[in-house]
Amino acid sequence: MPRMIFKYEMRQLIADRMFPTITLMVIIVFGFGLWNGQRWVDYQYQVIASAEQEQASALARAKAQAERVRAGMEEVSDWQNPATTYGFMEYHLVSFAIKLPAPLAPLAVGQSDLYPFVLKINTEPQSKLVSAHENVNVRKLLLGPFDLAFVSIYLLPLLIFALCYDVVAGEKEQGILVLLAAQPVSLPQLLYLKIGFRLILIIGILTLLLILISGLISDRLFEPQAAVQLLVWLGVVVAYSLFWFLLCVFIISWGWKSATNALALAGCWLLVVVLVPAGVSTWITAAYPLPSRVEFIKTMRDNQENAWKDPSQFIEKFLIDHPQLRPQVKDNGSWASWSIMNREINRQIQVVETEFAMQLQRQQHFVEWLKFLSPALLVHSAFLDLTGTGIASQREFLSQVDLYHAELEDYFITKLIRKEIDFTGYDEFPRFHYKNISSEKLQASFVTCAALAGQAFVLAVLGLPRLRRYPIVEE
Amino acid sequence: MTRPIWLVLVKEIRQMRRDARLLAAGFLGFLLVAVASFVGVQHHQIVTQQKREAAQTERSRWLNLSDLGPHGAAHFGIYVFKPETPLMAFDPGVDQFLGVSVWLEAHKQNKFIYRPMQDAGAVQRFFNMTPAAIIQLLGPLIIILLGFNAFAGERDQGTLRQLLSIGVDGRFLLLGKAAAVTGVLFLVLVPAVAMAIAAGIGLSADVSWLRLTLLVFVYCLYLGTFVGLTLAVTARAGSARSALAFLLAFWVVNGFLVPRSVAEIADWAIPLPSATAWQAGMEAEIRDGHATALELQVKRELFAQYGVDNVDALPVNWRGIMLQRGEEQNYPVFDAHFGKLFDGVRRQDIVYQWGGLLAPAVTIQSLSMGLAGSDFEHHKGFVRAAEEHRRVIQKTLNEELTLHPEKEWGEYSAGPELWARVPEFQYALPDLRDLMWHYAPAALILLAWCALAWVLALRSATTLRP
Repeated sequence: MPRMIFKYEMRQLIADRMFPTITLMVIIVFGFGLWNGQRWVDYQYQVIASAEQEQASALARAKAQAERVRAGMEEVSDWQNPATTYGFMEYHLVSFAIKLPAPLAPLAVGQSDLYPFVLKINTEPQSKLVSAHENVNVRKLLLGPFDLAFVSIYLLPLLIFALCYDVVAGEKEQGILVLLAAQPVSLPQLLYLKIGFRLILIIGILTLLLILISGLISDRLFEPQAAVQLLVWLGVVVAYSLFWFLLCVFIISWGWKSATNALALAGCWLLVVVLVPAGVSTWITAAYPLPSRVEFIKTMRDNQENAWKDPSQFIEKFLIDHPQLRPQVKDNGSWASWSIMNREINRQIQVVETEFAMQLQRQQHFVEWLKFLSPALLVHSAFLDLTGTGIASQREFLSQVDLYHAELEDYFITKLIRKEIDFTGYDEFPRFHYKNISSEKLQASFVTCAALAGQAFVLAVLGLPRLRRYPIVEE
Repeated sequence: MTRPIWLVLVKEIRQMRRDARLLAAGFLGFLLVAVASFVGVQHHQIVTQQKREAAQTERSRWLNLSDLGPHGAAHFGIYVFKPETPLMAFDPGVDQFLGVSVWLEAHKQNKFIYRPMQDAGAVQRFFNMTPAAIIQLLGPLIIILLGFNAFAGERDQGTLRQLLSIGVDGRFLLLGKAAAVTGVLFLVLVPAVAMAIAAGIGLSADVSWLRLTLLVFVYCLYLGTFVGLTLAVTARAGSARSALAFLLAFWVVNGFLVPRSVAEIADWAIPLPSATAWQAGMEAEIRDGHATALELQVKRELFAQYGVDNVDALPVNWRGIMLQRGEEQNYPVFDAHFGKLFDGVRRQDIVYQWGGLLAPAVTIQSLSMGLAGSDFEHHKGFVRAAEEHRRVIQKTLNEELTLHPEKEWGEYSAGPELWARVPEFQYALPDLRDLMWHYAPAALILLAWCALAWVLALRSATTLRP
């Protein structure tokens, strides 16, 4: 029986004028989404390449100038002299911290258009880095990207509706349902087989898409876990589709007309994709407001003002922490003192920044739980995890940047204090190496799949008993 | 002549009142707009208060600076905060994606820092429920739900044939049904929005009535477009079902597909310089305000001017002159690079506005943000005002330094008298008349949409099939 139903469903679908239109739409929107995602990744690589080049040429320039200065061919003021530790550190040091896109990055732009992925690091305060950002039109940020995540979350359900809203209800309206009921197949069986056929169709489309994506990211597919992540991505999309298919079953089970089904499904879509997320976001804004950056600036300025009034307190503070360096600092020039003061002021600002980040994290930790209210939010968050484009991945990157900044400062300040005035370490000062550890967070995506499957299961269970009482003729 | 219209209106309203689903949808719409307005006004109040306080604190911090060299004070600088306009409670536009403050310091024009959305999580960005967004997205949906049945439903039931047989003019039917849909829509939207706007105005007296009036007008055009389109479709559709399917599809295209697609295409057509390349390009052209070459040149010129041969004999402080010249030589560099970036954004925005040809939502977004003063065009005005203020600060401080010769850097320290001579930063929304041309494409396209919708509706109504 299943085979026969599948065969006739196939024939019917091919004969349907809507089907080629839907197929074309699917190809266009999925293609456009993938193209946009890939375009953003290409752009990132382009920026990264130019940053690396800037870093290399700045270093080469500094080396060349240092040689000229050492040979006495050029005169330059002390604080710009690349042959000295202080001059190089203050004026010539260019080092980029780069966050490479994760292997699956073309699948979702996520939050990555909001955050910097290339940061120019020197020994200046890194508090400025927190608010660095790419030049993306803010209107585009407001509207959000047209990427595969958008297509999957917003448009895939609509596609499923177009395929399913008149299943059984359409047959009833045409008067075929009575004939079908005379066949040796129960109504729930018929409905699930018809829906199952459409589910297989969608999974087929998604699998084709998966192959296309594999081709697109073929050079990175063999990185640890990339292939697994891709499969998990497919799993999430299939689980999300399953949720919508079973929602269709649930709506159909009420025995309404196909037009009413369409309206009810559209209402559910609006609720899940727009209203619940909007409600959650509004509630968060009202009940758990973000700590204010305006207040943050006030605190930061208080510290700064304090520092400007009496800079020597910082040098003393530093020396209490590093008593072994006291004799060296004492008879060293003002450069070391100046650097120490700057470093301590930075550290003060950093304390305020860390406190702010903790507050933020507490807020977001709570918000995390609210995603279970809507399958759309669940899937969105899983996409961000899998593609390394969420706030978690960015926070990791920034904490690596913090460590690197401290390492860089230590390297130069130690040299200054030790009175190593001549600088030769052009090729040995610390460089930034990004460690992508977001790939270790697969379990969150499994939770998402499980939650979606659970929600789908509830819908299936709710729909089943009513299906048995489905009116096969209009009363 | 108005009597048939009135009769149709009364009949439609009665029918809508009897439909529990419509009542529920209407109530939901009202609730959403009311909640969004309430939250919007509350958020607006908090942020306005915070920014005002922070600006006052910065000002008093500046006035109470300890004795410091003028250039030291210039490096300490001032943070200025972008004030909220009252209409931002209705449409905050891109405000959440722009930095809240900028540091005005010596030698360089800084970028705005701390974008609220950078701190917020992905959920908050998913769909930001503002009164404007709700009306732009759900207003048309409510119109479609109220109106898709208007003609097609009567055709399905056979009542349209009866009406036409007694010689009712289709245009009266159209106007009566349009009045009913519009009346219900206004009943849903107006109280909530009026509350929001009243509260917004209550916050600040300097609301621009021109902006407010135009805002109301463009929303009427936008919603009017959908009333016309819905009635045109339902008058032509074979059945209520196909009218609904078509209208819902258009709603998705209008609200979700086109805005994002057009934004992507604008981004692809006019690429902006990357932040790194832009910064590097600017830094390469900025000349150092403390450079040895500049110092020597300034000294040489001063020696010639005053006929002396050493700095101690100069009646003025060469440092002040050098610093001011250092500032001024970089003004064109900042103007050029910020200008280039802003120009790219402006051209993208124009492309985006033309995207309105595909869907009216694109035009209303541009116009609504523009009139509320919450788009990038207005932000640019603030950036410019802040930079002007920075230049005033530098000039005041450097001129003071010039008047006080010193042997070593930082010998001369100024006090409160000088800090008070720097005026307090003031910013007012730019005059709308200066920006009007920027929004011309969106405004024209929206007018065209509305006209097209109503021409279609009238034509369909005069050639009604039973």
